[in-house]
Amino acid sequence: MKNKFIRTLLLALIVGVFVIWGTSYIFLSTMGPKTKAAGDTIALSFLPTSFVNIASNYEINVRILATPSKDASFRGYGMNLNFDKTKLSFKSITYLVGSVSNGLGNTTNDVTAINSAGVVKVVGESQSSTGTLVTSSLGAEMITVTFKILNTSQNNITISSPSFYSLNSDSSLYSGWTYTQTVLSVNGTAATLTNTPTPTQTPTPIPTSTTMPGEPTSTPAITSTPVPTATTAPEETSTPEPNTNVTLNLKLRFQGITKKPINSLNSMTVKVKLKKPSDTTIIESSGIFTADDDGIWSGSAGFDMNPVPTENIFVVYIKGALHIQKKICDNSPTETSAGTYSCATNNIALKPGDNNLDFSNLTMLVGDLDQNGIVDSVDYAMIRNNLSKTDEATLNKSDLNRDGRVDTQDFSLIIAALGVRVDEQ
Amino acid sequence: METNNSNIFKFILIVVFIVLVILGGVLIFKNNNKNQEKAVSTENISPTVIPITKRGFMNISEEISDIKIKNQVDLKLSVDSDGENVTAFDVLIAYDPTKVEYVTVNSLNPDFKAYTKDKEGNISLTVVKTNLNNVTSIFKGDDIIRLIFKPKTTGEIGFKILPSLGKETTKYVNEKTQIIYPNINEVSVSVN
Repeated sequence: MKNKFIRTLLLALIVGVFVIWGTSYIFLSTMGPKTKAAGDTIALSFLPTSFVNIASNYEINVRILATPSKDASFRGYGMNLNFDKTKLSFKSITYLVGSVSNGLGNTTNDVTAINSAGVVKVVGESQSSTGTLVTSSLGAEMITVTFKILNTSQNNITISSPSFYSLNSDSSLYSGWTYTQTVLSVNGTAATLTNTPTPTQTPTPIPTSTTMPGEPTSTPAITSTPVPTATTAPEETSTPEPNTNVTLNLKLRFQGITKKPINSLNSMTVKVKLKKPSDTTIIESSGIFTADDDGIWSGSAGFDMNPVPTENIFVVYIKGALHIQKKICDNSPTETSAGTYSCATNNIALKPGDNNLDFSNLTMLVGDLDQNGIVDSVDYAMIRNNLSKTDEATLNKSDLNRDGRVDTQDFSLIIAALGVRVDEQ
Repeated sequence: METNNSNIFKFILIVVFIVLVILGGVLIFKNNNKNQEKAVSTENISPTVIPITKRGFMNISEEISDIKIKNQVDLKLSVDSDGENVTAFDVLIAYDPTKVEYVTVNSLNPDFKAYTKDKEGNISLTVVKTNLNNVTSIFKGDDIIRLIFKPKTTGEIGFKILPSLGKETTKYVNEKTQIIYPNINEVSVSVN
């Protein structure tokens, strides 16, 4: 009787130990609290946003910008960069954040395999155990890839299978990001946003329309680039089908730039927005601009406006790559000194097809280096902390007058910009 | 019969013991791996980063406690940069424009200059290090800025540092262009 009692007690003890251990294993090991909330998104975009009118045998540099919805430290990242191997030829790849994961990611040495497949397999990792912190305000350029144009007909470069690994506060890895990515159009039309949801998360849509503060969000903006007009390759039999019916051919002047910049800096992506008459909707496009010997920048931005409004009175917004947004209401506006032009009434008439607008008598003020719409301590620090630097990455972000060096002239310009502070709306 | 039962019980006990030992071993092994990962992740720290947690502080406080309606309200902004060498910082300060009128801002540190924008009861202040020398600017609760207001009424007047307003944020930026978000405060001033 006594033995039976002891056995029962022992069995109960064993079962109890199992239950306690099993419960703690299930709930503490595999169902512990996650440090990241669901719905974190990384926007993957191309820089520049499109290439137009690039002739055969020219090379283009494509950068991929990753912008997380919240600040995060990344340990690793990967994606496939898909291109049309009949129209582009891969030349080289540089990992800007961390370095290639040996044996996993493609390098420039893999040129033959990449051009055979038409896919660049990007796998990089941060060398720091704490990762590389990427802010939601600035994002980070992850890679630069150089392609050679084989054929001038329209083609796209796309991103697929993105995967980013960030560090949780307990140093564990987090991979539950969802992604939005653009398509890079080469010699044709450009970027539209697509969402790639992961099975477990709901993607956060990125707004594609821009509205004025206080105004309701409305229809998505159409981002497009102008139709190539000049160069065609010998094998070309037809010109690309245009997706734009209104093209703005613009002449612009940017503060501090008085002559043609050095070659590597003589290209700028400029955002152009149109505000429709009697409407709050703003439609947005962008174009690549280049400067002449006098520092006047020329380029085009195409818009798909269907139908073209009959009341063709528009406001145009111009925002250079490092600049404060300017609101313009006149076909040929002038000002007595830089930054004094003020928009009064909408006077810009647009028609289907080409519209030539000379804004070169206005100065587009510089200062919004991180392109968040305001000039603040971050923009200032990007100049002061990089004084005397001449490397290309720094120059692209901080050389305001594009003379090949971050110097006291740039410093003076950013100090002046602190008095302006915000995009014109 | 008694012996058979005893043997079966012993067998079960041994099996359970072995299973427990194996599972215990697995758990210990997993724990060791976790600890090793953590050890690796704390070495070689050279972040190009922005700490997500708040560090240091930006506090406003009144310079004189007994304020008369005919006098001005002087607030000082104290900054602690938690060991960081500050290049510039932004502060957003909210006040009630029906009770007090913003007059001006003065820098109390000769190396730094303040740029302000006052709109509808919100002062947006960008303070930048204009001195181009290499002297570090690590603040340890230093008074950097004086804000001057003119009271319109008697009573309690509140001033508050906002973490963000629209696209603007209260933050400081160090010499590596890293953004650090500080702890902030609010203060109530009594005007007689």
